[in-house]
Amino acid sequence: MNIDREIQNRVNKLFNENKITCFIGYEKGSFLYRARPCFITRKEDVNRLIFNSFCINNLSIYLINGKIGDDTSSQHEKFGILATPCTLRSIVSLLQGNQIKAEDLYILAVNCNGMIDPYKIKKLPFIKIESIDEIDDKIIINASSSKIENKRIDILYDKCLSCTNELPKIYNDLIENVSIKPDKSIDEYAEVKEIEKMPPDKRWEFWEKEFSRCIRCYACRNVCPICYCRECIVDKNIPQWISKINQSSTNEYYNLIRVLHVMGRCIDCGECERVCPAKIPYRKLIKKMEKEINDMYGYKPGLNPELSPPLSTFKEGDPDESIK
Amino acid sequence: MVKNNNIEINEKDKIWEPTIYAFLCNWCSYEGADLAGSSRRNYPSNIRIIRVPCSGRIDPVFVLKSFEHGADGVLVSGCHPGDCHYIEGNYYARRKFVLLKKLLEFIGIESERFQMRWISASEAVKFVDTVKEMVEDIRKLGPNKKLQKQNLL
Repeated sequence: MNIDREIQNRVNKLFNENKITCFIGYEKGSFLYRARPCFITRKEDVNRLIFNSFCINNLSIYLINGKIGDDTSSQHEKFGILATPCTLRSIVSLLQGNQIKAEDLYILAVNCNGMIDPYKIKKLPFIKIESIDEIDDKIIINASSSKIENKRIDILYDKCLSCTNELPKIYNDLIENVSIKPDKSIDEYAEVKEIEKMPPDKRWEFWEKEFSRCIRCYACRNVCPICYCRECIVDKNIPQWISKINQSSTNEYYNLIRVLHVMGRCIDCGECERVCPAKIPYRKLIKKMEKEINDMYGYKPGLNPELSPPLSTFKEGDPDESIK
Repeated sequence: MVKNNNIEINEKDKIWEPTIYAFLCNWCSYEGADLAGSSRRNYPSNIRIIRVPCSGRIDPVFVLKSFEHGADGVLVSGCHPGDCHYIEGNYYARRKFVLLKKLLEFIGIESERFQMRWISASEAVKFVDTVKEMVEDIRKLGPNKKLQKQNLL
């Protein structure tokens, strides 16, 4: 089955039946190892749609008012969206936060085999690539003079290695893609546990070094589908919570606030870490909070839109060993 | 040592005293502190009390901001679970601050520096003991350098 064709056929049908006015999917990027989000508004453009192992962007961000342009445009449009497990789980978080309405949305879900990080491919001949073939668990890159073969598992994004590939049942239609069974032997919290073992001062040294690289471009916030506040705390001037001065304490302060604001709703799509120009390992912080929330409240984000996020609800018997 | 809040440091003697910011809920913990005063119980003067309507009103950002502005320790205190004046404010606060404590520990802030306590209006003794205990713990740890704003002047 050609997955591109399958997607194009189904989207074509949606346009014919007038179910959507705009479809958000992926199209070919500037390079073969890149795919970029695209908005299909006419039937003739449907053949631009593709899906491969380079479609990393979380598309749910384009569903939020304000980020898409103006409020009026999205109110009258009915969106279709191609949803990988990451996008789908973000949509669950948005539904929980009443940011989008399920009836305005047509979700075309697709199984994912994990996305490939081009920077993990050794000796990638960036411009001379002629074609990239995905055969079973191998990725073969045909360049003009050479042929590079990589095992899929070696070049996946870190977040994909421990992904359970679980699809919350909120989609309207599903395209069955060949799905590789997740590797259960990988501990998703291994990196977190490694830091937990360090003494406090070493942990601080580690994070101080990481946060000191932050240039406060706020790319992590802008790319985050659940950072949907109209006015972000960093933009507020009265009162000014975070100073604009770029010094280590304000960087630490900003990064910690971001973690506190997304915890419990973050579904670990890893976009913040991917777009960070300073390569700050946000996922370690996010995984830590995810682990604690799962241990204490038995909640995993992005699976059931009926549940409330853990910080907007409570139980009388919540654990409180640290409070005397 | 010069800190942002220069009232806290006796610059002549250069003696460091820990500074603890305490966010106390109006209905229980603040009343508890008040009772400690009116029943003439002594507690260290290292504590700076900030009265808030409910422990649910305290944003974790306040705690980070306190550290940034030179606190050596932060105490958050509210009514016992089930006793909240606003029925459920302290339940939400409990989730927020248990997670905040985990996060602060994860990035390497010593766990003694951030404490949460349930103190009711009648527990003046518990308030006094908590303050004494915290001041002692933090005195052992020394001044907090982490998360703190650098003085640009």
